[in-house]
Amino acid sequence: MADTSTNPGVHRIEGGAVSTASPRDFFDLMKPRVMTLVVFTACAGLVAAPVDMDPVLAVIAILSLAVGAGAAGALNMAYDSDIDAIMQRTRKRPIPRGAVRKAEAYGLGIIASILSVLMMALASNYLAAGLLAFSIFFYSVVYSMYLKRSTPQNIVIGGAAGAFPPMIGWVAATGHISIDAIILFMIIFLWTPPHSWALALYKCGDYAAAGIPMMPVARGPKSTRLQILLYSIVLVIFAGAPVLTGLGGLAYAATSLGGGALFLLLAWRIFNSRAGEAGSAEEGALYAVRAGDKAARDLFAYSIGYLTVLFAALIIEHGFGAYIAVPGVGG
Amino acid sequence: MSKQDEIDELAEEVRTATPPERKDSGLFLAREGVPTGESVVLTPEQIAARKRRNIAIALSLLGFCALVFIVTLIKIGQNLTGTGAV
Repeated sequence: MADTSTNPGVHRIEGGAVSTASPRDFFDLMKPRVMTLVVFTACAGLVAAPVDMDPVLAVIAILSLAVGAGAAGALNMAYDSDIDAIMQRTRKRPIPRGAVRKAEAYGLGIIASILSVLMMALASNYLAAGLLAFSIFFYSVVYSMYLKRSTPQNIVIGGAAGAFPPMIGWVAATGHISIDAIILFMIIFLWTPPHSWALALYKCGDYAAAGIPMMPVARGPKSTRLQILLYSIVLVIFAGAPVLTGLGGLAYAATSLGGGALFLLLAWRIFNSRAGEAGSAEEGALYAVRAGDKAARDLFAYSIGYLTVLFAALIIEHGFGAYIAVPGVGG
Repeated sequence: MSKQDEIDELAEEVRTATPPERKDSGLFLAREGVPTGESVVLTPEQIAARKRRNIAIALSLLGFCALVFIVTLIKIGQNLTGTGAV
């Protein structure tokens, strides 16, 4: 900001406090990578549901969900801007680097939340809209404002927020919550701890600097590695549940079995490694890692692929007519 | 002291008064009735960024209206089909 005044008594301030933020900066506030996974899992829930929804309304419902997830992301970034500025991985986000003001992020988050819930109610039903509103509230208020900074179980409980999309997709199509919708919810719920703790293991220096009690910071890397293994076992077993109810067919069963085996192998590698004991890598990139932490980075990266493939199997089976029931089980 | 002198004195007081500390520019002070004599001249980057943001907001609003319109048409169609009117 420069004073360009030439006339005494009249001050012309060049620039002032007017923002130079671009629409791209605001889009980045909405965590587009998270939105992608949300859209994908919601599509799986919607496609796997036994009721056909008008395709245009289905697209609008998914869009509403994406905007709702983005709104929650913007609210999270607004609230967490203080710790984002400390952590290497997040310091280039729009608020810490000064591109967008905190109040603007809150504004975007609140307006996008209202519009997304409204649109979901119009395009599908009130239950889906209510679940969307609750998931936004849960992520931005319960998780971001309370759990994240107060307990090592933050992402275990907070993981529920990320587990809602397939359930919302299902409810948008059917209008009610069934056992299959709960199973889809539980798969993501159980997937979140090993996924997040794998990242936290090789970024624990970042979390410690910001004072976030992530499991490796609060309980230590050894305990975290054990918990990752235990959660992975429960997840891989539970991922077989859709086969038992008939939601998943042969393709899903094969994916779940093969993908689960590799998941367990990587979790076992972490358990036997010294991941998390070297501190964070100097570089802030998501996949930057020290030599001893590679097992944690591998599971983190693979876990995203695992979830994607599981839900892709459901989409292929139900959306493209590739469903073949597993003999002797399910409906 | 004449009326005009009083006004001039008051104007001088206002001109020389230290404005309350604010992070924001003089525009906010002017809005509160304190004439600071300050004005903001936007840089070309700020003008361009504002234009881009305005376009993005306009497109978002148009998109929202279009979606509401489309949903309304589909729902009306479904209701007419449901009641056997079509």
